[in-house]
Amino acid sequence: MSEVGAEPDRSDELPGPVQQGRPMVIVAVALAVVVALLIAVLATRSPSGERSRQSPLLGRPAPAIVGTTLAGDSFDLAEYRGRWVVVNFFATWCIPCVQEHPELAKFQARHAGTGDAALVSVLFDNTADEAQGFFTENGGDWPVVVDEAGAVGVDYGVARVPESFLVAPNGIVVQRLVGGVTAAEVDDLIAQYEGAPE
Amino acid sequence: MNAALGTAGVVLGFAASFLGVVTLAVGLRQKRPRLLETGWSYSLLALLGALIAVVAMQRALITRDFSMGFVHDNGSSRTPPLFNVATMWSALEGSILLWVLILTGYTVHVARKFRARLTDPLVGMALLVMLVVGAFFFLLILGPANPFTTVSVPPGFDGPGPNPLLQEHILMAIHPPMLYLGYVGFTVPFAFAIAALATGRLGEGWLVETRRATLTAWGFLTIGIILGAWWSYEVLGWGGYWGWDPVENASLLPWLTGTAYLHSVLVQERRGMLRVWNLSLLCATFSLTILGTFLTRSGVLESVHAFSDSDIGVWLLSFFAFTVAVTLGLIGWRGDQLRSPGQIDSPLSRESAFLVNNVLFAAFAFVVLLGTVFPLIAEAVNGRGVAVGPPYFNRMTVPIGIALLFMMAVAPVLPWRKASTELLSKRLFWPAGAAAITAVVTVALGARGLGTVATFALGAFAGAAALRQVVLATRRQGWRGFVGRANGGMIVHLGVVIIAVAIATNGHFLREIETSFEPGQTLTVGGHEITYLRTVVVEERNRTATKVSVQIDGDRIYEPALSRYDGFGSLIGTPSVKTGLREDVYVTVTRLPEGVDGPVVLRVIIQPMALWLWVGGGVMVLGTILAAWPGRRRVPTDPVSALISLDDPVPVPPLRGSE
Amino acid sequence: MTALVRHPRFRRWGWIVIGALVLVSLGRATLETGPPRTTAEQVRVIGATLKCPTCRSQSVSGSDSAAAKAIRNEITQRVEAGESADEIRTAISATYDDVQLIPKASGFEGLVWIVPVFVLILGFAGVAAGVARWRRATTRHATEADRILVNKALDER
Repeated sequence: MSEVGAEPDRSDELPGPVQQGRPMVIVAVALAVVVALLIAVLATRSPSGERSRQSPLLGRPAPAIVGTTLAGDSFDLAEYRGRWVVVNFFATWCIPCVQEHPELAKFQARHAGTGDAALVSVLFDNTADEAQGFFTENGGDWPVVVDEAGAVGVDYGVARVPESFLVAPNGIVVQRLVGGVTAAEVDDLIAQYEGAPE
Repeated sequence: MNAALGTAGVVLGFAASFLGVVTLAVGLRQKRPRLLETGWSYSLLALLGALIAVVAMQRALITRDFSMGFVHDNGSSRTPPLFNVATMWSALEGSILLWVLILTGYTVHVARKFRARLTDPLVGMALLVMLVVGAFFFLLILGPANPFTTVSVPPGFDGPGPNPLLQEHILMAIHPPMLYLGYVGFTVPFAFAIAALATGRLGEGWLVETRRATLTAWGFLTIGIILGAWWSYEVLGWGGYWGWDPVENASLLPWLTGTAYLHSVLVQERRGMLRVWNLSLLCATFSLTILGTFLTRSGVLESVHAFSDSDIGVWLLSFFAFTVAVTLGLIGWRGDQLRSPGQIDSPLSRESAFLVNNVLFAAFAFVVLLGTVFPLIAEAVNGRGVAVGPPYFNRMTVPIGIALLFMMAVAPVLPWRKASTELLSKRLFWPAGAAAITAVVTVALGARGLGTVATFALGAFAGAAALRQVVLATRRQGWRGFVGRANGGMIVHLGVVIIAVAIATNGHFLREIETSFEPGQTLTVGGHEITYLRTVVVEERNRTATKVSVQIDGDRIYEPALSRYDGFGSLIGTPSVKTGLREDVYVTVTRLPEGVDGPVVLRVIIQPMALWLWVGGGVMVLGTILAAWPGRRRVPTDPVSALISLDDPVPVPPLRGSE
Repeated sequence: MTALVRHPRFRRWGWIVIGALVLVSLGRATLETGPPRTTAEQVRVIGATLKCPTCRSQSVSGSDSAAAKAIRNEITQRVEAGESADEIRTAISATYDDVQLIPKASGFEGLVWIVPVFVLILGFAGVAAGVARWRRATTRHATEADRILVNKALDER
């Protein structure tokens, strides 16, 4: 820079008096406290995956599910009033969903006869073709609702499949189940809610 | 076999680092030069250990040795050769290995550069610090991030391969090494800063000696960040390049403090001021790389770029705490001794401008850090998570960025010590004229929004000021007017201006449409003709890709795709981009056709000036190289150029071995 | 020509013109709005303020996850139905927890907005105080030792 190069250096001034006191110690201690608090916060956080099974839907009427099933029938959740319904969100590309499948089949087999509880799967980011192949191969005779735009998923606030919602006979969502479920787990839940007066 | 070899390498590296630390510590304590000289051998041995481990890893990957844990989890016989090499840094364990390799490389570089001065306590201490960091990372590999585990595999086993997002683009093969060269490079000035604090060397010697290392680290970090943004743009398919994602923030944080340091260090070199501040910035930069690694690797924050979780978090957090404790302890202990009796002649001077620049950079870094960790803080306090996302970061950082652009225009024309308004009026007149014309023209062209037009105007202001400096320098010095820190710095400024203007243009003039195309149908989007031709399903080695052929402007065929990788769940969308000087046409597939003749839904984004983001990055790198170009420079600590305090208890060390 | 340009009065008027042009342009840029946006652009803007539920900090616009895609579809439908950005945000918040990406300006969340401003002010106050103190620093004159040091260094060049 021209200005800099041309400018004579006036290094002939000597420094002023060195300041009194030890402000650096104070600054260092203050910073240490802040960082220690930050570390304490960070150290006590659980991994993000393990958080929240909360849902704003709990205790509220289940959002409507009206659509066509894989088999081509029409489906309406409202018709299931008076029964427990497990609304299961599912995708063939999701490995936990595939692992969960036999448990769902077990649950369905157990309740198909008695009719006290029903199971419905809703496809999540999955085309009918892909799902058709899967159900043909792995079985499953419960209604599977096609939802290519993901509208039902959004109504239920589905974040990551597999995810299931337990809807009470009065049509109220009572439980959100994140991750794969087992038949026993769902039966226990239903028994729990049946036992407790609403 | 590979696993055993790798483990042997890591053990060798750890042993060398650990023994090196002990030997150097004893040597420093007992003032035994013979012991200090061994620093060179220990550094070499540590590098050898890291090399053996990396060779073992690559060998295992190339031979698809699935009996090794890392290859079992991340390798695959279907991965193409180049990405197979890059698989090493596609997951946590391997990237720590890369980290160690680079770190030991830098350590050997330092030891070699100062081999004539190994007995100097400052150098000895710096090497010790580097070996401590090395020992920690070797320990990570032996402990929570061990890639060299052995597993028994059934015959015919094939691994899942690296994350599909990482296999989509060549950039992913080079982006992490660049980023790590930057991150790890800051260990060198950090080590010297700690050494300066620990040995009480008051002079500016260590600064000068680490000058080029700092610049190199900064340059690599810049490349890493730009490549990361480019990768996001080319691969992730949402049409953006920067999402204020925790991993992106983690790379930006040390860059911000590093940039602040590169500026404020000039004040120290010229005026002997801000010693403690500069040391603190270097320590902050290093600590932030560790904190960033913790945030992105421990799983407390989720991120698109974070591809692995493990219990490594506790280790990294402890190391971060250790680093901060040591640094703050040293600063508390030595800081008041280091304080220099500075003097500023006028608030209107380059040193004042650098002070303002530093406040702005520090505030920028603070905003990014606070926004990144605030969800965790809120959860700890309220028990409820709060999301802090791009709208927050944009709203907070854009004003700071605009203020920085303004400073970028004014600071280079300010002389040291003192300026008059008359001088400023003279030097800034043409740049300000350029700014005014730019403001008028861009508004006439349809730009709206205070931030957008201010960015254009200030971009012209800063760009013209930087050009003025370059023109004056080349007129005086010929080609040497391009090299050296001040001149190279102006080229870097030009690169920053290009990026700032590109960001503003892209954000403001971006046009986007999502629409359905029948086969053979042509639609005009933003003046570009887009024809949907056909959809083809391609079975590739590691994926099934459904490619949609699209012709843009009657030009060649572009193929955005949706792919499903073997072993990975959801569909991965790959955009296809027609790059242009003025704007890019960015096409992604939103919905595939039902049958052969069905309509396809495409998202078309017109991205103005996207190319200039990367060009600006290239200019910044060019400027960095020019700034680091070897040449005769004034040596700041010599008596004719800077204030030195005669109260210094320790004489300024001789400058042998300096650049 | 050069003489005219170098003349102080030319420069003074020049600065006034520059200032006026910049002010007028910035004023126009602030007060007027740009051209209307397409649906996709509105979706991007609204989606950028909502968190993708499977991500920690990415927005619905910034993620390609299944949930983000589904929410984008929902926003698109609502934009086409003529709902305002705020209505859409409220509707999405009714089914997804903690989906707002912009922290609230009140309560504990408000700190994330206030603290940086406070830090910035503190920083500038610190610099101002520093400059004031450094300017007061007394100036002493060089001793003979300094001159010897300087001369020696100059001779070595």
